[in-house]
Amino acid sequence: MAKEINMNHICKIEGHAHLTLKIENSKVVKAELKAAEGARFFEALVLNKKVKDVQEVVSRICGICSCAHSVAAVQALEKALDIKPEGKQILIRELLTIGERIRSHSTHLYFLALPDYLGYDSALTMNAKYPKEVNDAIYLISTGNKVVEVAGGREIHPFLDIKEDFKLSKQEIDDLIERLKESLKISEKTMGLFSELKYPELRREVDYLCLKEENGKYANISGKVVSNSGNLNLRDYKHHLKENIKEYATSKFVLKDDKPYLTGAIARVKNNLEILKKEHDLRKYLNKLLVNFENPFYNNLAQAIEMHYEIKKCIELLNELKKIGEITPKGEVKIKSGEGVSAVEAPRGTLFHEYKINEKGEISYCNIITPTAQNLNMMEQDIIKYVDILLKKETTKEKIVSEVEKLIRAYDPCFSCSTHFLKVKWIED
Amino acid sequence: MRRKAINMGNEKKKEKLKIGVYGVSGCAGCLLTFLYEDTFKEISKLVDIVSFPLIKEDKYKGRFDCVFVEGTVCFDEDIVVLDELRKRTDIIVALGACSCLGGVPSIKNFLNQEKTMRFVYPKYNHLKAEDPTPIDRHIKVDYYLPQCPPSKEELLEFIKCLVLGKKFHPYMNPVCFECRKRLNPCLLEEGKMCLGPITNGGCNAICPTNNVSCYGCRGPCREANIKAFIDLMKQKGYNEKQVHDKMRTFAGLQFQEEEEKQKSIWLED
Repeated sequence: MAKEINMNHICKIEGHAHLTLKIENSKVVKAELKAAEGARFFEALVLNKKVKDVQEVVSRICGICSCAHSVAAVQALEKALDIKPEGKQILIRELLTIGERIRSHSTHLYFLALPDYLGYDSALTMNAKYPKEVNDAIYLISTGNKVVEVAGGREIHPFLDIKEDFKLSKQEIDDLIERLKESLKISEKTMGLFSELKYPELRREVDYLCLKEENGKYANISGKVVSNSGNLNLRDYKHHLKENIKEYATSKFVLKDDKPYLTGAIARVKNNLEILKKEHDLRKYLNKLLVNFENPFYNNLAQAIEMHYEIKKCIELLNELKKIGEITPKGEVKIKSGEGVSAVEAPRGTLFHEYKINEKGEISYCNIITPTAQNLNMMEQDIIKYVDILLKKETTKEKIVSEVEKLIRAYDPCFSCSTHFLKVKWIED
Repeated sequence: MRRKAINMGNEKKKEKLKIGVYGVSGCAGCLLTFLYEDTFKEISKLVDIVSFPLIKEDKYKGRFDCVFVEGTVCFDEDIVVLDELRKRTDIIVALGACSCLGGVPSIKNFLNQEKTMRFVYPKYNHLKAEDPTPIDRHIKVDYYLPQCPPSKEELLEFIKCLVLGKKFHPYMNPVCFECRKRLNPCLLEEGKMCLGPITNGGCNAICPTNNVSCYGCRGPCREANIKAFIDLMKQKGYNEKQVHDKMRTFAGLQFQEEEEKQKSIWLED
């Protein structure tokens, strides 16, 4: 018996996506996940733009990860122009990515993922029985927003000019540190909450890819690209990470040396375990994660752990920022031709930006690889594996659809980035 | 705006307005505006968000009082979504630069279509891509809340007007008005190409305040003198193409329309 499951418009993910499953003799023979977003052609939109106009454009790829896109673009352009950023600028960029990650993880954990496990259709309906959790979520989201606002001038699409300085008052920083300390109590509860949820059983071997610093710091905006199957030299990332275009999708599917791999919170936690293990308050939760790394649903717990760690790190960075004085404006940027690649940890994984600049200071080439595009292959594989398990247990159609949605959400995909919700249509013989 | 639900002397339990929050091809940034601490709590007190696919299953099948839409129309499915929403609601609000003006994706309208397509999808023929357009090219839009990202203060003010049945007055002065009020140093005087004089304000001049020149994300202001602006920029050493490129960041289509209109009125020098 052959049947096809069409899930159009998957809800509670960032952006719009459709999934088509073809089932023959109780086995999945085809899974096609596609972004239901119109192609926006961002890489072509920056062509011939002036260097200083690029960040304003690429930031709009994604509202949720606008900081990561901005930082990646600015860093790649700086490399192309041989500009070395100053310590304070690096700090500001790190704050932007951390602030964004706190916002993104808390939104995903509480608003997108948690309702599935507590049996609600949304956080809005959950509000009646779990007002505390919803309030906590809003508090954490706003903490992330405030970090981004302080570092970048506004909550999304931050201001990040290559040569401009930011004016921060001590009072602003102190207020923010107070708020972050308050948020730590909530993020600790969040780890507890997400370590006790009952996650479905699904195990597989994965190749984890993320950035890693050599100085023992948790990598956010710099470091080496590491993965279990071999590290990457940033300059020749394109030789290993190949973007494949599938006939059914506007998003690109990325393979590393022809094999699928995983990026995101769970990859970062896995590859940086020795750093995280030093934190006493994380140990209990890390131990739980340690035996569940092969289960994609545990990306939720990895996000909670990472969020707690990053809030602590954010406080450290802000204290450091207080010590660094004003930086001297460098004056006009010297325009020259060149090329540069940068990788940054966006909330959902490693983000690559590459630019070539001509002698007029205009962009002549741009390539962007987003985390979701890198995870799509793994998602399809996991969906096939999970639906096969569910079919063996003779699960109902409704249950399969809701379980598949849960799996997709655990990946925290961002379909705005990679190029919309599951409207379910079953086609049977 | 239609008066509904609020009737001060009414003893009956007031029914909250039913709101939908949707996106077509976009970045979800405008949708996030609803989830800020200061907006979320207030908005959920004032109205009933019955549909919000970013955070809620799209189960509600009834009518809305008001629907907010973010994003640019980039392919045929977007038009299907918009047509259905228009049938189900009294009021449609375009939220953000993309939905009001076309936004960053609308840059594509000014590029070579074939080259653009080939650059991003080299060997690829299956893509159905529309010219990226604001939503009012496809459906009737009742209100516009532009800006990228949208102003949460303006969003809240709009929702309060909606609930109270008051008329919403969009801001009608150029960005320079608010920028002067904030005592910012003028970026034009520093030789930067700032679209402040020809762009509608209401953003409290947030970009110039952060030392970033205006990119025109609220669209051309009333009586924007585009010809005079281009002349001014030429004096400062920019050429016409550079000015056009800058105008084509968020609201290229509208600035172009405005310029065409003015060209037909004025005689060439």
